[in-house]
Amino acid sequence: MKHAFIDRYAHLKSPIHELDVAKKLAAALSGLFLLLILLPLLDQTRTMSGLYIYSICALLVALGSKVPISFLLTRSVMVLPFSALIILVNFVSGNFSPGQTLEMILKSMLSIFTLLLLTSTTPFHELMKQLARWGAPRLFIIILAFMYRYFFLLVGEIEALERGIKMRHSQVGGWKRTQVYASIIGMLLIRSYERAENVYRAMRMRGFTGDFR
Amino acid sequence: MHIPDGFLTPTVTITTVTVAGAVLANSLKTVNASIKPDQIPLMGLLASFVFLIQLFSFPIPGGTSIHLTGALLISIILGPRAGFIILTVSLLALALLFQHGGVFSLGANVINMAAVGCFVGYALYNLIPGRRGAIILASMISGIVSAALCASELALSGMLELSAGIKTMSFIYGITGLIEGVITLLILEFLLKVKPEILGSET
Repeated sequence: MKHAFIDRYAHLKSPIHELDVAKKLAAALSGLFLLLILLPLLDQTRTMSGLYIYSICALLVALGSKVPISFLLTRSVMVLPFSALIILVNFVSGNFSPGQTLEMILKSMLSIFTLLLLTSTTPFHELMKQLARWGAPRLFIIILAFMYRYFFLLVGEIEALERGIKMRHSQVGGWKRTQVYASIIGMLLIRSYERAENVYRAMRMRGFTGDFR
Repeated sequence: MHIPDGFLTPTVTITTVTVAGAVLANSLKTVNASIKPDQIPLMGLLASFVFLIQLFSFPIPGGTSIHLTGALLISIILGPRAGFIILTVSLLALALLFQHGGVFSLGANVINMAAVGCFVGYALYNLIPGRRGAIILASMISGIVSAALCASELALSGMLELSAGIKTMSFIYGITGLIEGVITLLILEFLLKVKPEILGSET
């Protein structure tokens, strides 16, 4: 079983990958701040030129990072279905404006592109560590870390549950099918609960007393 | 429903991030004060569970599929505050790792989905008499409330016309909320049959 699909390019070697995590995180957040807070305050022609300049800079960083551009671009267009929903509602109510729509799509694609650059050049656990160093609440980071650690195991469990159900009754439809899926989810919940009990026992054995601050 | 970055104006972004941050800080403080040691790994594992079911699309009769939020389910198990923290963690991870929703729009998404789903959903669940009906209605009404909030945030940002947005989105998410309610009920019945002690672990 291979589940390293989440930050699969984070372990490449490039000048961007070797940068300090704090600098990368700060740069990505400032990039988003520029895109989403500062640029929209200008008038529309200036915002648009700002967005074009930003795209060129982002592409240059992407080239330097050796992360495949095709991956970054295909993930960035994932925002289009949501934009399509908004455009549809606007068409129906007669409020469609091409200029504003283009600006919106460009802004959201560039934001995703920026975040993708960050997460594909930095392993996720490094990002969590940096957030903790900047003073993010401990409980929040601990839950995030647990979530990330056990996500892959739960994916394995849900695959096994689905396989088991397929083997036992090949095809059921309609209401029965909904019930079967609800019991898969219920079973997954029970297994997560029981795993948490085991994890807690293991943590106690190693001296965990509930103090994580 | 996960609003991406780039759809909200600076004012709406800053307001929603502030409100969501305040609710999160308050929930963390309350849960921190009363949490038992064994609930720390439990919250982590349940966050993983929620994250997974949000990625898992659910086939429903009629050939389409939806995904669950798990907000009401987790709030019934762990209480609304712990549920809210878990949902927020999951929304952050969805934004960072799967590009569902943005980082600056996280404030709005946390209010619409995590806060409404857990606090409004749980309050309605307690208010409405009868367990079965309460689960379904609470889930449906919180679906409508969160769609209306989402449409208002987009309308305040000049993205949508307010009444058209509210009507369309409340209709769609009222139906998804209803379906989520039915599935939540099925899951809870399954838990009552198989491992009822899970339902008593509220923080």
